[in-house]
Amino acid sequence: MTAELTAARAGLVSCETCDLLARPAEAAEPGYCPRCGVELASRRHHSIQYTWALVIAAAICYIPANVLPVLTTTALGSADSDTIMGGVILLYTTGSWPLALIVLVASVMVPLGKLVALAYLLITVQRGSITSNRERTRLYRMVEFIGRWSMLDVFVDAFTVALVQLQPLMWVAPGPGVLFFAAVVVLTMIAAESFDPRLIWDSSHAMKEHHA
Amino acid sequence: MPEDTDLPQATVVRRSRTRISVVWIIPILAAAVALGIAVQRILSEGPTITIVFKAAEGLEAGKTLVKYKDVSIGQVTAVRLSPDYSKVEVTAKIAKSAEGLMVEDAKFWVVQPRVTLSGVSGLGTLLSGNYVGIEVGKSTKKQRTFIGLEEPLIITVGQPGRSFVLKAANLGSLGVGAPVYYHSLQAGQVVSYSLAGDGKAIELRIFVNAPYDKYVNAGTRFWNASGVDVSVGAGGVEVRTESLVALLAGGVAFDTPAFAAQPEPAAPNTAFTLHGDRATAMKQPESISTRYVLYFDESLRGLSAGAPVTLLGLTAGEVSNVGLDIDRATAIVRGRVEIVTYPDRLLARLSAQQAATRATLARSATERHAFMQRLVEQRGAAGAAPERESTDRAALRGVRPLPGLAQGEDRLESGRAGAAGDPEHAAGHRGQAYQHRHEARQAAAGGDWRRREKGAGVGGSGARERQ
Repeated sequence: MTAELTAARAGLVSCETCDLLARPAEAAEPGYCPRCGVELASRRHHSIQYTWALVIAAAICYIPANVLPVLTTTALGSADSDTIMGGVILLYTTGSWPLALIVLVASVMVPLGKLVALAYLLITVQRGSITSNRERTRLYRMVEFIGRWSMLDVFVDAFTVALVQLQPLMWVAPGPGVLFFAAVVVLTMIAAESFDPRLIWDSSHAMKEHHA
Repeated sequence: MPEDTDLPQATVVRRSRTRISVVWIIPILAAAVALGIAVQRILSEGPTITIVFKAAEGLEAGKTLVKYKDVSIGQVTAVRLSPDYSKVEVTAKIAKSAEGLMVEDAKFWVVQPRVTLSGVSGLGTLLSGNYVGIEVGKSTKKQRTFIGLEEPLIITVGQPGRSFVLKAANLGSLGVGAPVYYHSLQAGQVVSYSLAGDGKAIELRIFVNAPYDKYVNAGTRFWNASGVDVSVGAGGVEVRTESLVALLAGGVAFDTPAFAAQPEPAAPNTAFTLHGDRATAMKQPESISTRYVLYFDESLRGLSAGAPVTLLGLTAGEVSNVGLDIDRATAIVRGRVEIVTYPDRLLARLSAQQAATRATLARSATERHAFMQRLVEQRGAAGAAPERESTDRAALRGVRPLPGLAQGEDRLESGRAGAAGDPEHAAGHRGQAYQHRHEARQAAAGGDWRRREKGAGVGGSGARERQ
């Protein structure tokens, strides 16, 4: 792989909003974009710290999201509280395994996968890994893309609660778990956003320069 | 490094940069909230109890609730068989707030629809499913394993009212839950029954709800209100029953006769006798009874103990025993009828004008004896020479004064004493006077009489009979 020229190496800074390539006011403090007024940064400030904080917060929220019930169904006087995993098991045992699979993937595996992926990216960047940059970039894109679909569960919950209100025969109420689930989704989305993918290949350049 | 001087120069705004970003507030906040919930959960964690039932009728793990006074205080978390497969162990998680209810003598049972003759209960469980009912105990000792009851508790601990014990010869159609009536109002229920310690009687425990419990005093009579009480009298046929439920399922009724009423309500757990019917229960105890023996030469067919003795058709006493008497010397077999007369009953019917000399007569037991003597001699034994047993004066001491009769103007003398024996007379004796008189004549013709004892109460077992 040839050593590509990057704005950072050229002593320049590109605006993240309007992509204007500008000369930084100072190397440490690049200043603001002269075109759109956004604060310029060669790399996002404290990107790793921010992302770590959000990933940890999401990981903390992930526990109550799975332990607390997300949906309380009251039918004919008997209340039934379901956690996410409980719902998956219920769907599976009642025979609708495709639905169970969808819920399992969308509500359990995807948030967990996002957390693991972000943690992996952060660790590799911090350790200055230079291998599989492409794969890591692809992973990052996937995390970013999938983020917008993760709210599916929250939507389903909200719709069910709004539609199934046949009081006093049967009604559905949201459980506290859904709040934590939404928090997990929002936090991982912001975490993915705050992660600067440029960091992935920075270390490989540094390594190459070092070798050169 | 290439230099592009055409590029615009960025502007500088200086500001201080902190080392640790404020973004860390987010995970700290998340951790605090999650920790808070966890702590709250642990703190609100109530006890887990195990109840052993014979069968898990409609109990479902994760669905069945534990309810106290219809308030949900817990949920069944597991239903499984006991290690020896003979019982069902139901595990339930109880809310922290209800922890104090899980004491040694708390009772648990399965609430399910029950249809009995005396009512339908637990209909709500048809829709909501069965639940576990609990009744608190009085103990303060904590317990986590309980033996479930098979039948629901009828009376709750906090229910106002009092329980009493009834002693009955037999249970009849009474059962647990049988109603207790007061003036045909349902005032309570039969809570339990058991054989008395000596195995000869039944002890029923009843609970009389407030405010009816205050009408139960030491003089209150209880009787079995099961079935129908039909009496035929001059006024027609009288049918008496407490209610249709009592007719079918049995029941107990109580009332206090005016003469026996006590001002103080009876203490809880007071024992009462359960009488067979209302008439027996409400009967005024005879304070003075006089016992006679009548001998008959003719048939005693139909005469039985309990048949009334009437004077002018008014009840004056009852037949207490019907038997035979053999004279060894002459080998004559006669009918021997013991009767008990209650002078009070007759004297109570006297008009007020005749009460003038009561006080005089009342003071003297001799005069009372003389009066009864005369009455029996004149009415009962026409011509036959009566033998009179010497009066046992000791037995008369403490006897309630007999309302007096003015000598010479005694209207009772125009009547006749007699023993009426037909069973159909037992129900009602009004309008039967002619027959009684007739029978009395018959009795008088061939019978002689003998006074056995005159005294308070029924007694008589130790009385001597002089031949």
